[in-house]
Amino acid sequence: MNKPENSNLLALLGKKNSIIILIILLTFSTVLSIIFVEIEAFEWLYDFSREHEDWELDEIILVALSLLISISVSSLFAAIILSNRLLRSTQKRIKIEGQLSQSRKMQSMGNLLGGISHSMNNHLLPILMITKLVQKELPEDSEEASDLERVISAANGAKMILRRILNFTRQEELINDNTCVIDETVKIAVELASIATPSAINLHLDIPVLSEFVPISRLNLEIITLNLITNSVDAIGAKTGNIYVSLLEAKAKDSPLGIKSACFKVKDDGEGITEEQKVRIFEPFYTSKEAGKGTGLGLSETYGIIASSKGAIEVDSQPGNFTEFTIFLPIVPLT
Amino acid sequence: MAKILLADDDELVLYAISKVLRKAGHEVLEAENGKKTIDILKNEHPDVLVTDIIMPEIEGIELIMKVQNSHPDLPIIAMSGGSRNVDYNYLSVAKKLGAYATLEKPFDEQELLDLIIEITKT
Repeated sequence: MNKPENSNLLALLGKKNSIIILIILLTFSTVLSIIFVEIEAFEWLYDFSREHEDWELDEIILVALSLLISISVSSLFAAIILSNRLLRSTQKRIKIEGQLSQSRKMQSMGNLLGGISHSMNNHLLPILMITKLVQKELPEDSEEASDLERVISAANGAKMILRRILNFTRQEELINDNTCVIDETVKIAVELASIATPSAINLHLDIPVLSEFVPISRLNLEIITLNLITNSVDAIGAKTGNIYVSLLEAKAKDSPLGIKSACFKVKDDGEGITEEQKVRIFEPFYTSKEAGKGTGLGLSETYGIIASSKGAIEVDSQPGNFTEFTIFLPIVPLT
Repeated sequence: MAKILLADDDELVLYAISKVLRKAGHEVLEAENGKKTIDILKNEHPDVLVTDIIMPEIEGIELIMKVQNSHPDLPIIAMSGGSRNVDYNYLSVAKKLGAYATLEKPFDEQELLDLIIEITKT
């Protein structure tokens, strides 16, 4: 999700500015040297020291020159360190601003879709209830009853899509009463996903015993695992490929959550995604899959569920090489 | 069979749920908003209140709070088609306020009928 970090002075100043500063410095030192030569400064200094040999000016000049060189070198180092710090803080600020704007975008999208879902659910209720009531009045084997079954089935399809949208919009809701043991749940979900995985795709598992509780319901953890593996299967397509599912414990300093977290990764060597796609990948209804292949809801639903658990999700990818999703979930301390 | 007070601002939702409840043999009193619900409660004594959350005039959450005060023994079933605001889940608030059960629209009619049987038995 993040651009590679540039951590040198050149990157901070920019190529053009660096060249301009270098030219100015060279011109300044050349002019200074010419002036020194023109006013015969060195000859004067030499004569002066010969005239006052008892003052031991040679040693003083040597010490002064050494001091000057040390001060220049340390100033240069200090400047480089400071500029790197400035660069890092600027990059951090840009990253936080980016995350904030992404989160605002997701929130307004959530509000919009929440409103739409609310209305649609209200419309679906009478469609489903009245259709079922009418269907009960008809002979079971009649064509009309079977047609109404199709109406019910279509309405149920719409209901399922709205439920998935709501999973995205409820990202701010705290679900404190739901926890599960991460390694057990992930193992079960991967087993389920493996049934639907084509035989040309190898599923590699690295799920050590990590009997830690995470603030997410078993069902939701299964949903996100299945969503990510299904995406990987689609990214590999009809080719031969690999999916790597791994789980590890991340220390507070290695987790974007800043606390001890469970780190769950799903990586595939499929087609990968571009930088442009990375920016939009968690938006509802956004899909890079061919028409009819996906609803565009899997990752937005995953994003919503992770956010509701106060977790984080990151994506890394190289087009043509790989895609890796990393999920961080805070570990719930046992009391 | 139970006497049910049903509150929802959507005419079709009110019609559909009433029909289901009546077919199952229950008596239904209909209210299209929170204010009307409170008015009905002044003269009637239903066994259950089934209410929507987002309604004009007195909305569902406020209605639940008022009814909890005036009729503390009246079981409430809150229903909603989802939140309009992502920061706020109305059904979990309703549950915390003491609603007997909550239903996400569109729910299966059997869920509601089972809940009413459960309430009237206790």
